Amino acid sequence: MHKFTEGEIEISFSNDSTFERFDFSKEQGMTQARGLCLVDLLIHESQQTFLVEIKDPSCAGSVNNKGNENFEQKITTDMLPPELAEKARDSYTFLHLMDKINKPLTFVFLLGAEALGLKPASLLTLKEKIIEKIRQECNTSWQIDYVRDCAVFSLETWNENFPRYLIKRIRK
Amino acid sequence: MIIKNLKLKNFCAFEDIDVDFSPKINIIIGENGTGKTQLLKSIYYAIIAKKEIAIEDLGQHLAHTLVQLFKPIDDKLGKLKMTGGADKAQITAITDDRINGPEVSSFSFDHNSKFIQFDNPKNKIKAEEAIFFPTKEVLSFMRGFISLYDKYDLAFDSTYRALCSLLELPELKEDHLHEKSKWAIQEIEKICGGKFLFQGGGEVRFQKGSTEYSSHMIAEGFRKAGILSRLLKTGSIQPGVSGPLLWDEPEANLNPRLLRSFAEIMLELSRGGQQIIIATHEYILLKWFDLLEHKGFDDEISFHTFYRDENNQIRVDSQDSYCKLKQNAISDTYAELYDEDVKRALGQ
Repeated sequence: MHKFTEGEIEISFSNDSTFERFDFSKEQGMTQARGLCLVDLLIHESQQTFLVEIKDPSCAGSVNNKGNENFEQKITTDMLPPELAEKARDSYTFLHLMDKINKPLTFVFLLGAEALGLKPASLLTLKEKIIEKIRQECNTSWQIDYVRDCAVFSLETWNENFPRYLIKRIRK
Repeated sequence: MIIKNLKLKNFCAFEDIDVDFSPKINIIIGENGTGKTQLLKSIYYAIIAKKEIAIEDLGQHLAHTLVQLFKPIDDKLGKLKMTGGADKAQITAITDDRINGPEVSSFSFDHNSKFIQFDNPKNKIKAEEAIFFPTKEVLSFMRGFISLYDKYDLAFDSTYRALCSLLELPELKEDHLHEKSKWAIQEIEKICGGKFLFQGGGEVRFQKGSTEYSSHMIAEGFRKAGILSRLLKTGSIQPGVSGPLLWDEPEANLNPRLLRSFAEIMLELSRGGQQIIIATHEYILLKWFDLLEHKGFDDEISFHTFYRDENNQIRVDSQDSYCKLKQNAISDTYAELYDEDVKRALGQ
């Protein structure tokens, strides 16, 4: 069993799962191409690769630092989808330049937002906004659907849909 | 006048329900066939029937009023009694005119009754109206409707006639309008980009700048807003004074973008003392109320979910917060949509 942790979020992977921390700007001693914003995690499956970005406004540190308020502001002002689209696009670019794309990519946004009490309708609406931004960031749409689709999960719905990669919150 | 509580026994789809209402905003949700419209009509009946208690042959008159409101098969009163119920059908309402305190009224009948038994006939007659907005707007067919309704046996229930009748009232003088009403009227004119002109006899036009249009040329959502505006202008809706506003599916044929404005207007009217009871299928409207509720303004929103239990009986789950709802058919529908969308996204 392997663990991936991002703040208070811990994902458990079985030994036969393939995943990698992708945003290695956070790793000590690692360098990153200038201006490149990558997603936090890649999960490789036989049919597709998941680009996983994690935001956790419900973690204790964020709550103390008004993370919830800032995050709600990001959602209500529509700042979040462009930020996520940038990460999806840069991650795709990086993988392409490294010649590592050999299966479809799916963008997955994991939102640790228990404190926000978001319902499926809100997650669905957020998904629509993100995929719209991923498809078109400037005047015209990208000509390639570089990610085939997008899904937005709360911790609860992640566990419902990815029982093989169970998540739990670990208070530090 | 507000409604505080309604009990329905063996009436229409209800075996036995008991609902407490907020004096401000009440939102009724539930799947089709769980009796939302029947509940609104029952409240309406319990209030308008109280106006008629001085009439001779009261029981028969009350029966006629109920039949015209619910339009049962063959216009038979007994068809409104729940099938199989052992006891009489009963509507019991607790109202409060905000002066004399709570008052209980009870109406009952059996499957072979020709008239309704009114159990508290000593109650004083009150002049307040309840206002019922049916699902369909009325401005587009209002011309001549009242005359037709009174002469012919039309398929419309009596709420349509009552609404048309209220719309024909003259406007209040400006200084008699509640401040919240003035604000709401201005908001509605902003939303519609003009105002509706009521010419009498059901003739309604829409004025934008110096040009007038037939009301048929105006979007149905705007016509609904026009009805609300007119009722505010005539004082039929007067926050703190008028009876409850009962609105069945305000979202029907309304651009979802307008729902926020509608929710804001209803909240403002409720802050002025208007009781509002809405039946809706629309998540967006429901969510706007949840998001716009402001405890600092003493907003009181009650969410009432109607659902069928394991014995197929209708039950009610009433909560003072959207998040606390245990049964939420609207949210469940979105959850289903979300689940399907996730499945597709994950390639399942």
